Parts: sequence; structure tokens; C-alpha cells
Amino acid sequence: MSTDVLELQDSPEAVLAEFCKREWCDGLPIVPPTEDRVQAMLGGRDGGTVLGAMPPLWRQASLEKLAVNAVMAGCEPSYFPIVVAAVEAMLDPIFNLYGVQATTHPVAPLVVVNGPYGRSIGVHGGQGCFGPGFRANATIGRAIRLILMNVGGAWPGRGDMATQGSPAKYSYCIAENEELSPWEPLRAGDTVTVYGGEPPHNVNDHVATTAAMVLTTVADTAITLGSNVGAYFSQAQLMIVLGPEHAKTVAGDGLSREDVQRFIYENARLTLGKLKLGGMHGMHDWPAWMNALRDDAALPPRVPSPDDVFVLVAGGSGKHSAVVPNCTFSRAVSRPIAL
Amino acid sequence: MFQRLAVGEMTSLGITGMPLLLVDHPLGGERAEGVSRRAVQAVEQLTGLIGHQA
Repeated sequence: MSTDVLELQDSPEAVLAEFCKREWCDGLPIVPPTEDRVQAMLGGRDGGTVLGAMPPLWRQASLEKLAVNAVMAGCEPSYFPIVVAAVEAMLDPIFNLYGVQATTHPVAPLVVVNGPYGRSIGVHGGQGCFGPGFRANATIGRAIRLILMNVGGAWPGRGDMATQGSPAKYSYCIAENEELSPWEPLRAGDTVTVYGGEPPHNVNDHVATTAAMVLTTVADTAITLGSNVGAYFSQAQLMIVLGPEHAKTVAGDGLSREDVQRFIYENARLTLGKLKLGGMHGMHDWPAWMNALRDDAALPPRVPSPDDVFVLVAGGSGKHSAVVPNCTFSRAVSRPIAL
Repeated sequence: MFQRLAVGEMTSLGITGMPLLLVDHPLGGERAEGVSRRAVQAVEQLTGLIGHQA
């Protein structure tokens, strides 16, 4: 290993205490990243391979460092390709990881896994997929957070300036429930998508019997005066995570994924008069045609196009869905999982 | 508040000697006079820094 080796008393308590003291962990117990464990996590990959410099402290994100944090998080070596793909995606400039790391907004990268590999290792997209209880989801998401803290330097109050933080910053990883989705997967094949999102906002609709009813409730949940979405317009995005029962109702009325995207784009809106009441009005970056609006009853869009509404299916039984608004200074990025 | 972030980033990049121009946080929610006060504060510091460099 190129990393310095730390020798500690061989007890979980001593290891946790030392890692907490050094600000190397999220406050939860870790698996000690011994050389053997790190090598097993690397699985023959060259630990010296660097994926890029990670903000805000611009340390080099080598595979060895990623493996150390994946061990600490409790990952199985089979999870590591997903961790690597997620880091590659986050380092794409379009994702604006500096902004995601250092903002006062409570954004966390949501990792969405598509494809058979994720299913084979237990990344869960069914009942209760946002957690708790599923090791692959929990530890892949936690590995990402530990990497953001330990490699990127996003320590609360220093590199991570989130006003209140977020439980999603501990771990935030799901699979799409492709089996119960009425549509094609969000992304084809073995793919990871990272999305700079708020924690999931619940959509409860136990009475809807049509697509329009379900999606009206979704659209109403998607946009609020306090949301970033629509203020920083050019990078605003929404993720709609439909529960399988809601998805079935929507698809049963003949709507495609594209139809859902357009419905949300056209209906997840607030009047100009309401937008003027607060939020970020006056410090928004709307295009000229939106700034020219004068009618308080006007309904300007909150995302640039229907393509900025991501629709996927996850979860199990029950009449609940979720909306994940993004932070609006980051755009989702997908990467294939290299196996 | 963000000074710690700036110092941490500079330290990590090995440029600890670079002078910082500090503006009071927050800007959001400030009335025009508050923003003007920060602008004056920034220009005064910048002038001082340029003078110091010269």
C-alpha cells in the first residue's frame, strides 16, 4: 500500500475512537482497512490508478483510496465496481462536485444502479429501498460519503458547508426496480447514475385511480416555494421515483415515460405571483423570456425541458412515490459499470 | 464562515501564502444597502492587497 499504515489496539472500540478523533469517518463504526482487506477490495486493480482530483481539497482519487474507504464502509469487494463508476461519474465536470460538496444546500449524490450486475450483488430496488436494511445499498452509499469526506475533504463546517446536513449524506443508493417497472430501465445495461439530490420527498396518494390523478399529486409535491428547483434554472432537474403501484396506474392509462416527463414538466409549476413571495426570487438565473413575464398568473417552467425530469420505478407495495429535487447547480451523470 | 473552506483548499493545493479577500456572509436575504456595504468592504480590501503587492 502507498498509504501510511496506522497501528492500533486490536479492538473495535479503539479503532472507532481513533478514526473519529482523526476525523476519518462519519461517526459510525467502521471495518478497519487493513492491507489485506484493501487488496481484496481492489481485486487486482492497480491501486495507483487515479480517477481525478476531488474537490474541494483537490486530493487525488486513486483506486487505493477508494478501496480504503469502501472497506471502512463495509462493502464486499463485489460492490467496488459500482463505487468506482459512481466516483467516475461524480468527477465529470457536468456534475459540479465542488458545488455539491461545498454548498449550504443539503444535497447528497443519489446513486441509482441499473442492470443485472447490481441485482446480482443485492443492490435493492424493492420494498424499502431507500433503507434501512440492505447491505449493498447501505455500504455503497456510505463508501461514497466516506470518499467525499476523506478524499474530497468535505468535512462538515469546513469543506461541506451544508447548513443542516442531511440523513441522505450518510448513505444514498438504490437500484431501479426494473422487474416491476412498466417501462424500459432509466439507463440500459449495467449503469450507475449519480444525481445531486435532496432527500426523498414523499408522495402519498391512496385515492388516485388514473394517471392524471397520480401525476397531479406528484407534480404538486415536486415544486414548492422553498425548493432550489427552478431558481437556478439552467441546471434544475427533478427525479420522480414512482412506487410500482403508482407506476402501474400511470402506465395503465397508456402513458410512456416520455409522457410522464412532459406531464411533470408542464404541471410542476407555481404562479409567478407565488414565486415572488420568497425562496430565491430576485437571485434566480432565469432566461430573458422568463424574466420578461409580468402576469402574476403566469406559470413559468421549473426545469428547462421534459428531459430534465428523470422517471424511474423503485420500491414495493403501497401507494407511495417520491420526488427528489436536485440542488440546481449540478446535472445528473451516468457511467457504465466496468466489470 | 467560508474562510475555513478557502484556507483548507489553499493549504491542500500548497499555496498557503495567498492573501484572502473576505466578504461577510450571507449575501442572500440582504437589502441593497447591505450588499453595497459588502462591495465597499471588498474594494477596500482589494485596494489594500494590490497596494501591498506593489
